Amino acid sequence: MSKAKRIQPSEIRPAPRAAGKVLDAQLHLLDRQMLDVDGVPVSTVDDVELSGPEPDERIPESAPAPHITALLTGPVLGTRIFGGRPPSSRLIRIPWRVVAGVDTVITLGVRSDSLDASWVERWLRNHVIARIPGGRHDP
Amino acid sequence: MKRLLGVALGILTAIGGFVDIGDLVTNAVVGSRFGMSLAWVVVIGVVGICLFANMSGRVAAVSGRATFEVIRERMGPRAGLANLGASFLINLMTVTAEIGGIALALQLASGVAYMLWVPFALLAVWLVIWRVKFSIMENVTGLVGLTLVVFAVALFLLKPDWGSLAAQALSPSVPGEESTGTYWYYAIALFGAAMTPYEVFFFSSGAVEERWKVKDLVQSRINVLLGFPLGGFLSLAIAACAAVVLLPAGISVTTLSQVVLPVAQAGGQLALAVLILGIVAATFGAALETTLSSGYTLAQYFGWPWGKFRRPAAASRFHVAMMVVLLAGVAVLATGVDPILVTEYSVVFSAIALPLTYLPILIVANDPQYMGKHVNGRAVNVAGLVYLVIILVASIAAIPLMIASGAGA
Amino acid sequence: MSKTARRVAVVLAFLAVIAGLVSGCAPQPSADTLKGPAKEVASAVRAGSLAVELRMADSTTAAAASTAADDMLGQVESATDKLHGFSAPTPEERTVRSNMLASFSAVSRALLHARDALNASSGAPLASADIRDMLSTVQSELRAATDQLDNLMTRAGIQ
Repeated sequence: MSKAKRIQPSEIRPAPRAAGKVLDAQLHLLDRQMLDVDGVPVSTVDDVELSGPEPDERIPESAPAPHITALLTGPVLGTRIFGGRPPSSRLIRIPWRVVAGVDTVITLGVRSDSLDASWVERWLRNHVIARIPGGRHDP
Repeated sequence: MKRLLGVALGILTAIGGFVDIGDLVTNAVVGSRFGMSLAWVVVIGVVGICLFANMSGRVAAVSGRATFEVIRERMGPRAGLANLGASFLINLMTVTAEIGGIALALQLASGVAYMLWVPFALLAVWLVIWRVKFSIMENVTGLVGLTLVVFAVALFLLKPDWGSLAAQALSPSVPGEESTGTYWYYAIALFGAAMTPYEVFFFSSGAVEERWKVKDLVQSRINVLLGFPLGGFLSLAIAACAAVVLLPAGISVTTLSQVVLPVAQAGGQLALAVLILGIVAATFGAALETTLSSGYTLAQYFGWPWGKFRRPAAASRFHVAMMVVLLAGVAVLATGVDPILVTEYSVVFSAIALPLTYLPILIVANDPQYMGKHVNGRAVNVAGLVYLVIILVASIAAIPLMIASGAGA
Repeated sequence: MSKTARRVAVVLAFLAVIAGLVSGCAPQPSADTLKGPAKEVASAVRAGSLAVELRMADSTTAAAASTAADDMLGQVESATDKLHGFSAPTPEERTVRSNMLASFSAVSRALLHARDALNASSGAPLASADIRDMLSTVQSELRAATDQLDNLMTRAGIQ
């Protein structure tokens, strides 16, 4: 693949001032625990999905800035550590719109059971834990 | 009065919970082959575990998060994964060894073959993890495990030559029949038996389970600083009993049935019965702790809901992971491997994995973002760095010594 | 794989092969190689003696003592297997090995009798004269086997 030649645009506008909170994805988002609205852990943030142009693609001049579409969890951790990327249809997403707060933990505004991300937990609960007596009792 | 009882309970459970099958076997082997000349390793190991248990308890009480959760956040997924991998494999070996230990102790009590007790031990351990409250589990196994103090009682009843025991301990030397390589190999094994990695993860997760806050730090410090050293004394008593009875008789310990002989000689069948009860309680407690520790580390790394304070249905992956660990341990035992052999290897591999498990704790305990004003003081950091060097040396030297000494043959 | 990684892999594989070859070679019975199994058996027979002695003094239960004897029997068996694995090309080495094996089998017999006697001694305390006699016989058998092994070990230069 030939390396794209850098073209200086005729006019560089100053970057828009950030509205709201400034976050660093590595420091504040990645590998953070996600808690649902009841404080129950959901998963850790294994990766972040951004909208916008793909890498090595030409960026058209008035393209909107990329924004976070979803937090990712699951097998994408393996590809994040070792390289590669799973196909888009296989990603387990937590849409950004359900995120309620970003702090030392990331709080979601919905219950864990309503999310795709907790399907393993639900599956094991229904097929294994519920079948063993005493599983639903308080300790 | 109630506070005093609470403090006493904490200390007593710490003492009773300190000794596991690794300590039992390694100290008895060392006592029967080297006398008290490796006692200094126990002292170093106890100081080390006090230091790191204190740190991890402080991390949990101040930040409300268990250590492993913080390791991934602070050090990234790769370092966390390496740590998880090492800890998980060691935990698996230790769970196998502890369940084997329960079965061996029950065989000693009943004469019924050891293999028949293994499924029983598995079921019992799992049931307690499934249904019994965390604090009850800790307190009962810790208090019953206190009966291991019978080793100290037996030592007194044996009327040993205290002078020569002290001389062996204070001016250590390699005995004639053993080689220097084997001496240092067992030094590392003893070190790994005292500074078990699972202890630290269990301690910090337990702090979250019991909802410790900053005001509980004092209690935790007392538990650790009084309980663990007294537990260390028990370890020394185990070695001393073996040194007094087995070493002169030319018996080197290779089985649990030999470990109990000095106590039987000193105090008869009553002492033996108390001892076997203590061994069952200590190994049972340790089996619970290591199994829970494997569950904790996996769940905290991947962000699953965890904890015995949750109903099993609310922490499915956590409980399923522990079931898998228990079944894997029993599967290993079912191959007929000698659990004492597994124990001896598990303590050495614990020593090898120590840098991977302790360095993150040192780093996190120094991070003001999690610890606020409770970060490590200068003295603790100096001690922590000294121990890091010791741990690194032990870890690097372990495999060459294992090869050179034929795994302590 | 990068070049350095490939090199490291080759070195490791080479070391693994060497290690395999070295460990696979059967050792020959000399004082050094015999030391391990002989010491294991010496320790085992003494532990068996101690267990019987404690049972005779009623200091230990039959279950604990017979478990000890059984464990020691297993230890002697594994030492015997190790000894069988030694190659013995010269006649002297053959003599050494067969003497050692004979001694080990005497120890095994003694431990087997000890285990059976200890099992029989369970239940009531050692009031019965039969049980006490059985245990003393077994104890003398164990002591004789110990002496035989000790002599052999001294002659072979192990102790």
